[in-house]
Amino acid sequence: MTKNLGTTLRGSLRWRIFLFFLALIGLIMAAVLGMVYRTTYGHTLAQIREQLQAGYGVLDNAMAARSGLQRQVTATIAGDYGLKDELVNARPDSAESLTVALDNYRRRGEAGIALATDPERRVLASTDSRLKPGMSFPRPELLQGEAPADALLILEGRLFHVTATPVFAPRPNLIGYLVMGFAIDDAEALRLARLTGSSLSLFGGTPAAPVRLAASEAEGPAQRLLALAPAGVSTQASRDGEYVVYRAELSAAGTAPIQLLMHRSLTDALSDYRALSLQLLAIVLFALGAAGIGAFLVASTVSRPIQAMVDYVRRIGSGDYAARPPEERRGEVGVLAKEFAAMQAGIAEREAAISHLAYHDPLTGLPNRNRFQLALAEALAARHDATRLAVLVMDLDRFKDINDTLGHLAGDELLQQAARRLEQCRREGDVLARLGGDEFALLVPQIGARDIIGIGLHYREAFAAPFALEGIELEVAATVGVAVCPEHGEQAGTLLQHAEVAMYVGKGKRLPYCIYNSKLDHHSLLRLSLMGELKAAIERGELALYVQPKLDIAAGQIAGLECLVRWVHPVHGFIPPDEFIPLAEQTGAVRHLTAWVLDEAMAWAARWRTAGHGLKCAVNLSAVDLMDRGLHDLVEAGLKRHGLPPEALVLEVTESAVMSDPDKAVALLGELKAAGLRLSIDDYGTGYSSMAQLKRLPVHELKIDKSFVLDVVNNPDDAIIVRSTIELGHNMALSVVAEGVESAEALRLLGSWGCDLAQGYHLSKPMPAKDFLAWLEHSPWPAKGRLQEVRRA
Amino acid sequence: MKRMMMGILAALSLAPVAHAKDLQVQIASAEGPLAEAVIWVEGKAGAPAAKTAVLDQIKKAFVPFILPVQVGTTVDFPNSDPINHHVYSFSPAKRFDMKLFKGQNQPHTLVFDQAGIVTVGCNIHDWMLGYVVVIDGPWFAQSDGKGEARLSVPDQGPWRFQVFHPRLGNAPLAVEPVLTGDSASIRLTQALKPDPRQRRVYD
Repeated sequence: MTKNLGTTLRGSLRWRIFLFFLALIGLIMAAVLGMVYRTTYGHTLAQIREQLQAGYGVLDNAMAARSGLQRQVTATIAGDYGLKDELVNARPDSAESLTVALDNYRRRGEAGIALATDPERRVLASTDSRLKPGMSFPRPELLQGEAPADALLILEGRLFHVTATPVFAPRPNLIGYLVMGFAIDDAEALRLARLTGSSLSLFGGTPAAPVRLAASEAEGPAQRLLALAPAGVSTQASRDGEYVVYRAELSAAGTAPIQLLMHRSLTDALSDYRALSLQLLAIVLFALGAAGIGAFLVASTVSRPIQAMVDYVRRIGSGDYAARPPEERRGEVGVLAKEFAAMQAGIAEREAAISHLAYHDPLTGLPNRNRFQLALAEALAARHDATRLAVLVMDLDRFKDINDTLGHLAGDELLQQAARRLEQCRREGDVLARLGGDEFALLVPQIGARDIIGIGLHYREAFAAPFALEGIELEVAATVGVAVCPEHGEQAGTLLQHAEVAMYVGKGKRLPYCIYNSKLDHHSLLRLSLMGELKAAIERGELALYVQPKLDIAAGQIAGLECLVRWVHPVHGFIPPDEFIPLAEQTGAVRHLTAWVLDEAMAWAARWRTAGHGLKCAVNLSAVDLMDRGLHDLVEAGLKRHGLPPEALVLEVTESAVMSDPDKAVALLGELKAAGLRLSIDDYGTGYSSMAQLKRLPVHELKIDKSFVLDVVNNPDDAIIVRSTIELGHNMALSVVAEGVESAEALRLLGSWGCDLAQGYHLSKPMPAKDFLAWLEHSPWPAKGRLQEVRRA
Repeated sequence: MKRMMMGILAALSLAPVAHAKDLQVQIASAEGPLAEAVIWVEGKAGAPAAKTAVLDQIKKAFVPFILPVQVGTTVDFPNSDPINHHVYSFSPAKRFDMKLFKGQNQPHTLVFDQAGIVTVGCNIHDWMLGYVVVIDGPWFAQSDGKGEARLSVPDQGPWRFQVFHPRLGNAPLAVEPVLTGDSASIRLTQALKPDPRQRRVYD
């Protein structure tokens, strides 16, 4: 897991740096390439446009130059006496001599055609069969003036650059005209194309229906481009690529203008840059590779010290505080290493403190339960088959009473003193620990069979002398429970548990020490486990509310009932309240129990009131409840929630419960009484309360313990106690309840003594609350509330 | 110039005296007096006398520029230049060509026996231009620098006046002068063509 994390970190950091640089360089290169392409494209386009424009200028110049040359040639020939002679002598019907001469001049002038007319522009002779002698020259406008003129002329689909000049003999005596035609054919177009550096085409006809006259290329997009291109320079996309086109019109003699089209393929021009692009791409790839390696190296230099830090921190994390920080002294990593070293020292220090805390009891400074269990486990592991090992557990008798009476500070002081004495008694090799509360434990790693009792007694000696607490000499005894390995278990947990069980048993039997015996176990274990289970039992609804009715003897009516709790355990079955209530008081779970009983009782009371019975429900409070400052609020909230008046609830407290902290109890009871609740003293006669104390209690009722009532009919002593208690109660203005009324005779007797209320098997055993109404239905006594209702009705 | 004057004097001296009278002719256009114009009246007078005239080549020009002759006149082309000339004419009235090469004793006279305008050129020097105005009759004269000429005419009219000058066209022009006693005034209303001699030679 850690390894993966490290790898991921290393990978991610290095790769992120690496990829970042790579991406950056890639982006820059892409931008450069893109810009180069854009610039190249734009530049090429502009260049070709310029080239075409310049090409047209060149073409224009070439045509003009040629025109001048042709004029000179023509004029020279026109000045030739031989021509003049032939011309003057020629007649349309007899021009053979002139024709031959013209052909000669045509060759001399490298012209395509040559012809001569008379001054009236009738053809006298021609080297071209299409222009027959006798016909009028088709472009008479060329044959004018005294100077040579030239024009483009289409003759039967062929394009000629013709130059016409008058022939004088001498000037101004006009004897005819000489016309020389220079063919502009594909070869000429090619020559011009080479001159201008672009493809060149010439079209006759109309723009809509062009007729090819001459072109530098046999095939090409010229005709398609002609249909698209406007005059001047333009860029046109054709199906075979992009072209830059120059279109112009050349005026022709007698026909529509001739379309001149020059074009260059932009695609081809750009292909010249392909080699450049490839070189650039190669450079880019090289740069990417070089930058990639560089970025990787840089990334590694950054990540290596970090990786060292990671390894270092990982070692610290696994608890190796001796790890040396990496040798990096520069930069942030150096600072980080220094900080980590400081942190390492801090952690080591705190861990020592924490581990001391974890393994030691802060009050006594002795090892705690964890440390003890660890030592025990180690000792068990080191034990040889032949040797035996003992675990001693002891707790202080009456520690709770001392704590309650003298306060927690005194209790703590007692524990510290006890710890010191035990430590003094501790033999070499034994491990002493405080398990918690007033419980101490000892591990005796090696013990002979006969030494077991001796060891127990040895440590018990620590408690022989009285303890001095707040100036009081206090006798504190301890009970020791012993479990021996291998007889009582070979596991640390088992041994400790068994020693505790032995201790509980010893305490119960008031023994100074007790050695574990498997027979002890069942009951003890059950008790221990029940303590933990009670809270869950409440939540799971394993508790049930039982009630036992109370009879108003004088009125012969059911005046109320006492609510009792029953626990039906899913495994152990019915558990009597005598078993688990004291346990609950010890563990503090009694608060939850009381809250549950109160809530249940009030819920039932509310239900019965709805049914018309104004019965008083009595709930028992424990000594713990009386110490609870939240009890008053709990009761008030319950009454409110269930819509009950306070007098519907009777709270029963035992004498002993009150006596554990009479001041607090009296204060709480006073509050409850003031709130309108009825209070009752339960189990009266079993405690040691003085009359003075009884007098202080703000109660309404006194319940005589059933031990006095059960045999009241036959036992005269009990009769005296009961009778005098009744009188006592009445004298103190308390109503008196007799518990344990099991016969009609007893009830009669109690009635004759003026006892107010009776409770016991004679009326009913405790029954589930839900059965109460049915019981009431069949009982000989009506409910008190019912009568009131009848009376009201 | 001297020879030209001599030629004119000869022509005048040879004109028949009887049955004729002289007219003082004045020719002018909008531009002013027209010199060198040949003016004649149609008509014959007995047998033509055998006459000679000279059309010289001086400084690559024909001298005179316009030479009026009567039909049958022998015109000499002496070539006073130190270079060769090759004079020719394709005019229907007289077609000829004649090489006037130096050092070769070639014949250089021609008889102009047909009336008409003969345009003379040189095949070597294209700009050279001259006219021989061949008139069928003796009644002709040529205007001087003031546009004046003394023209002998038959006693009896009517006279049909003809004028030739290249600035008026390639053919003779019939004109109706204003006659006042012995003087005739020819007023040319048309615009004159440029003088062919003064034009720049094209090539």
